[in-house]
Amino acid sequence: MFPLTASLPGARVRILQILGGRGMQQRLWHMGLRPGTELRVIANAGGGPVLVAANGETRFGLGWGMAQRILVEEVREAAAHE
Amino acid sequence: MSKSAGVVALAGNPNVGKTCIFNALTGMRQKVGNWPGVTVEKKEGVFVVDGREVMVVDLPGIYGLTPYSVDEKIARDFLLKEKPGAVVAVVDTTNLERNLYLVVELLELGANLVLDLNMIDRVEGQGVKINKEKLSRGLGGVPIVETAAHKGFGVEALKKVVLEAIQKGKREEFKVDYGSEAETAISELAHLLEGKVASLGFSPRWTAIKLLEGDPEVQELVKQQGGEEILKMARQLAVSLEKKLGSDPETFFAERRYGFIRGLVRQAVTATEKDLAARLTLSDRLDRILTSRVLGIPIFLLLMWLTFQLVFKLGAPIADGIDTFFGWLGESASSWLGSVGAPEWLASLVKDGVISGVGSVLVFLPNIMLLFLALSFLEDTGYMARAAFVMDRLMHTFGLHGKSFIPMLLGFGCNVPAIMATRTLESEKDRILTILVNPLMSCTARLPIYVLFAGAFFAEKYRGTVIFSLYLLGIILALLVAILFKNTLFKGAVAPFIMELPPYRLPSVKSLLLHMWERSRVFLIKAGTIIFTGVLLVWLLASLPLGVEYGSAESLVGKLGQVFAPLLKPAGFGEYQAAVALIFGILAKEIVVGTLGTLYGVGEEGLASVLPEHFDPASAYAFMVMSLIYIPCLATIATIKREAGWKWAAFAVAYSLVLGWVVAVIFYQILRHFWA
Repeated sequence: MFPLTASLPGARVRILQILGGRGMQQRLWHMGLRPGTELRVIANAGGGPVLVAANGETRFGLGWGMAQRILVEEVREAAAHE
Repeated sequence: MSKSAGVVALAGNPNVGKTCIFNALTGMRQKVGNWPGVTVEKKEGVFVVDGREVMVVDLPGIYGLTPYSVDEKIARDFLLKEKPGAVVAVVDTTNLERNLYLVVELLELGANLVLDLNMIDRVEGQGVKINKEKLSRGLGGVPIVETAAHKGFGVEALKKVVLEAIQKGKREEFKVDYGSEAETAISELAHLLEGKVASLGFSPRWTAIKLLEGDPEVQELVKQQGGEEILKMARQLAVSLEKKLGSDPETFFAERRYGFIRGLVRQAVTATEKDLAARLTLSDRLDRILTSRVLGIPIFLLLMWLTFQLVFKLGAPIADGIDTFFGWLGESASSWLGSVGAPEWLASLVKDGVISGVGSVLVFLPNIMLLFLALSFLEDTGYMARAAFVMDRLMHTFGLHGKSFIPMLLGFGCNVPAIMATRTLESEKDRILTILVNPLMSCTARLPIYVLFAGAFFAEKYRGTVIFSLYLLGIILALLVAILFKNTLFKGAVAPFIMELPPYRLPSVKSLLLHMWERSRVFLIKAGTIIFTGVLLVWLLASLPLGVEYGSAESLVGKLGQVFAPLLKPAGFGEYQAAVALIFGILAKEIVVGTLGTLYGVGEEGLASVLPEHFDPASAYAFMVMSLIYIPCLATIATIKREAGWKWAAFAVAYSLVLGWVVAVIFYQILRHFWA
């Protein structure tokens, strides 16, 4: 388990936990980002925002602060679809 | 005349092609207004099907019915309070699972729903099959239409289904099964509500769920109906539910809805996710380049620079044509009026007042339309959101939020919609800060001033760069002011940044032109109303008292200008005409040029040759700087007042006036040594 900010571009990760208040959790929920959601990391320059794709083609820009509070694990290719 | 059948609202997540559907449904029959009490754009239009007229209201994009930002609150209020005859839920079929959340919430609310599977063509290309019957059955028999609005596919079918839905009226209640424990609590509460607070107009079940979720607005409504006992009861039930379920009710209900949706999607959708990886590589590659740490900002600046080159290179010849036309019109009108024996003042009013004033502003219509075209292109392709992403870190450095960036970019078009666009910012502090610096983004109304002065004082090959430098100055000042205010007035952390980036799309020429036209129209209306009135006022004050030489120092306008002119002397433009132009420019910045045209009694072409008698390159540049910064126009001030309150509006006026004067003086005092 590591924060999203520590993932490399091109990696596939799965959200395990979101640290933060109810408001933030709910907001991410509604946008389709919740524990179990798989993400593809598209860009992560380090120190800046992280760009991910979730649920197919939806892309999100996440600020560094927010990305740091999203804890993920790496998904191996074989297990990519459950 | 066709009879009106009712109102339909369009609801959906952001970026699902809702606006595209709206345009396809209503064509050009639309009007843009404001929501009552707030200034978020409200788009309305009509379509006719089977001889009946249906009114369409486009709601702001929302993810669910829990209001986080002002936009979401408006959409929800409309659905709750106006109760449209039908609601079309527009969903992006490529992302069905997430989109269905809003659909389920709408159904629970009791909306008379039509489900529009938009972008169906993309899904088919992906080898995904959707069983519409199963999907409809799972959602309580909701009618389903497939569309690909950007191609016009399915739009006629949608019209028919909407009309049918309106005529059929209310459907039976849709229920998600929340499991026995929650259901017991819901029905207990619903039972109480049924007796006492029936006048709310929502179903008891929905109200009960919202009370258990702790929705503050519904709580308030129930309280107003004298339901204090029920509220107390709801709180107790929520607490005991939380104990039994192990999570707070709000999260629990959301999770159950998702569970329901996931099950439904599994039944109704068969995916053979074949070329997903291959399909994604193009967008991925684009995103990696456009948002890259090294190239992101240079690419953005390059695109901006290209935009301005395009706007001026392409716009100039058309503008010349318009100018020649107005010059000819003024001359012919005044000689015709002379030949029919009209009094001299009337000829002067028509030629100096109306035609040279309004004409000198309309000359810039081609530039403005091209700029709006370029902005629409950047927005519709999906690049604009990437720019916000790229700028997030930089914006943070200056105490702004990544999302502040789009309002700032839109400010290049017009500050009024730009300030309204700050509503997507969740934090009030971030929002007000963004509003305050927004007028420093140089809007199209200031463009005529730059084009005029750059044209009159700088060699052709430098004009684009001179104008670009003013835009850049605006940005730099906005950032500096932001950092100053952030460290004094708005201390505290910037809210976390999360933003959905729309997929890259090649917008159709038609939608681009429509987008451009919607925005340019405002400029034309302004030219016909505020600018026209302003210019007339200047003409009148320049002609009074009777018998005075038109626009001279002895006229009323001359005297007014002379009061302020000495203050402007350190900035290099101490003549009364400049002062008058700036004063009237507060009505609308375009009037600055119109006033100069009126005061010197010449059109724009004439202005370019007259100006060197009154300005030198250094003072011309300082004048442009002053026009950029000093006091926002009336419409912008009014918008700031509505969005942030009169105190902040007054503050914006005061700080920008001081800043404008200081910066203009600095520029003049330095530049005059080099450009004298």
